[in-house]
Amino acid sequence: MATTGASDGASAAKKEGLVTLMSGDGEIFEVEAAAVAALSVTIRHAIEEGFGDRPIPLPIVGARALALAVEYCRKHHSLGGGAGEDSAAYDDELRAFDHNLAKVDRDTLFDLIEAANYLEIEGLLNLMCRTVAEMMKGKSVEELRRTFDVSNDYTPEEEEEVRREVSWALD
Amino acid sequence: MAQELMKRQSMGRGEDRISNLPDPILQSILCMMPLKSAIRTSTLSQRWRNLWEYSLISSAALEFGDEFSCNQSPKQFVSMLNRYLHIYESKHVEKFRILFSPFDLFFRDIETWIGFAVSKGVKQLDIDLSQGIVQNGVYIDGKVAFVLPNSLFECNTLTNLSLSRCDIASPFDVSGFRGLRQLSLSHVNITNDMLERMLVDCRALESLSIKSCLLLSEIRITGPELRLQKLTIMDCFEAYDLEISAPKLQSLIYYGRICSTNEFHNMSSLVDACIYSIGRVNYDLDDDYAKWISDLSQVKVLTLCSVALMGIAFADEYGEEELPIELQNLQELQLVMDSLTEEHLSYISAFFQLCPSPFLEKLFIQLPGELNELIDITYGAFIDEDSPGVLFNHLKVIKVTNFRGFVNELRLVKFLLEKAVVLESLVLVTPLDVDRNEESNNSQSGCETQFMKPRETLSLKILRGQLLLLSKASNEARIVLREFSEDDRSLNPMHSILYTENVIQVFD
Repeated sequence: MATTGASDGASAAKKEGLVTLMSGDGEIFEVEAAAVAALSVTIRHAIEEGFGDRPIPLPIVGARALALAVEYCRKHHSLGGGAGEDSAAYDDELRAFDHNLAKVDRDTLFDLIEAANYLEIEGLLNLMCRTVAEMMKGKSVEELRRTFDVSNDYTPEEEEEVRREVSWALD
Repeated sequence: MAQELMKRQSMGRGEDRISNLPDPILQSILCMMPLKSAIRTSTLSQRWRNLWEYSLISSAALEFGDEFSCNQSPKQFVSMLNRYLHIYESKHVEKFRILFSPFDLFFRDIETWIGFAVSKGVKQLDIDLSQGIVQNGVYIDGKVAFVLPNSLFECNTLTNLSLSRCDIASPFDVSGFRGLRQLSLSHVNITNDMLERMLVDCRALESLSIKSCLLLSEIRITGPELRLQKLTIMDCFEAYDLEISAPKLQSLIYYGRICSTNEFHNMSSLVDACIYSIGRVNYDLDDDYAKWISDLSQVKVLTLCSVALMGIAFADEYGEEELPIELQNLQELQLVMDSLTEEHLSYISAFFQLCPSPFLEKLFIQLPGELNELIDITYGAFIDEDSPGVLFNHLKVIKVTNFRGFVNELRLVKFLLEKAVVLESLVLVTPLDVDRNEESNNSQSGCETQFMKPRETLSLKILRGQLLLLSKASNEARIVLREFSEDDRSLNPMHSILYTENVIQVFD
């Protein structure tokens, strides 16, 4: 956690330009306000509402996902000025960073989607959704169920009916 | 909240996390994959039942092509497509494409689909009803052709229109097609008059493709206002007169019989031409290839087939006045050979003598892909392959595909190596089937081995050794022999020609 600037207590000394975030599992992160505010709509609003002096609680974001999300914000703030994938500023270094980030394990992937959704970090949400789409496309229904542990609540009859309807798309 | 989070994280593997994502996120994930993959997810669980519909609703391109049609009966196709169009909500359709093999039972549905696309302001429309049994370019399955509804011709949003195996009812009015830039007609009942009307009314037309339109007895692509840049005429074998006068035309692709009367005027913008006759037509002494080449002599890129080479050689023998024709601008030449007999070698060397191309830089030669295409034509004017007058002063790259190492192929290579004084590389690519032949060599059945010349079974290694022994006019020239699978596709001719089982496709 050292790289993300996490510290042990909510009472850590305030430094100029820093903001304190508290993950759902109680970890504290001290990060540059400018970087996270530029990328995360949720944190920007929180700062604007005067959370600047107190830790901002992020109840549904776990420490691990928060650390990665903060890293994403820092990287994109410093390299791309917060630019999205379509921007010209999205250069090779950012591309490589995103590419690496997308290699996380499946659980972290969903943690990150939920975190990006909650924190409203559009670029990160898009990146992770695209990663899931890449994993899904071309897979058979059985492969999809296995890969994502999808629980099937169709009755055999219902499933048969749906399969018949979309038979053209099944192979 | 925090406890809930801990609980969920501790559950770890086996949890159906994807299905727990909110709808908007799942919808955006589904939008990021092809419609087919998205639709497939409806069979996962109740949660996924209708999620994919958002992908369809928010898409501006409705394409129901090969994948959609090949796994469904026509009845299923119709009912699925009708259902999809029913849930489609967008105001606009950018692109609408259907590939469907209809029975007249479904003509009303096709009409409805076209009406739907037109009502949504479609810009690119592709109606492909071409599936069926074709023999020599003509449908023999006895199906009635679909007649396009009038609503189509009222559509003034179209920029690209592609019609395959549809009929146009006359009288017809295309004055609404003012914005049309690309028009492709294949197996359409277009007549001489209709074509003329189209060229007048479709003022913005930049690309026109006419394939297998057998009611055309003449093809006149003329008009001072013509903006046409690209013209493809394929397999219109009832057309005996061809007239092109298109000052902006840059690209001409012609496949079929060489018309007995052809007139080309105002072709000063022409950059590339592909003239190809192998397959459907036999060489006719009246075919005036020399005039064609002469009329197109300013091109930078040219593709010719062996029939044209033979035509030029014969024209010379009969004292054609146009010859020799200098191809002053020619930089890239592709020769597509349907055979490589002694005579064919002489046609090639004759061509380089009769149509000197002093600035040629790239030469592509496609040898016959299949061995049974070997036909021995015994008449013909043999010209000594030493051809003293031929010299390639700028030729840097030669690529020969379907190279097997036959005697005549080696003679061709030897000829080229001796004439190309600044050659940098000669790339020889073996056909797709050579490796396979070598593997199955021991189990060859008798009838197949008849086609196998002993040389073909030589390994590439021996062939490489033979190639190294050839003398080269350019010391710098590298000779590369590659298997088909290792072919470097970045070095390919502008016109790529695929000739399989009587079907020819030309791409560029």
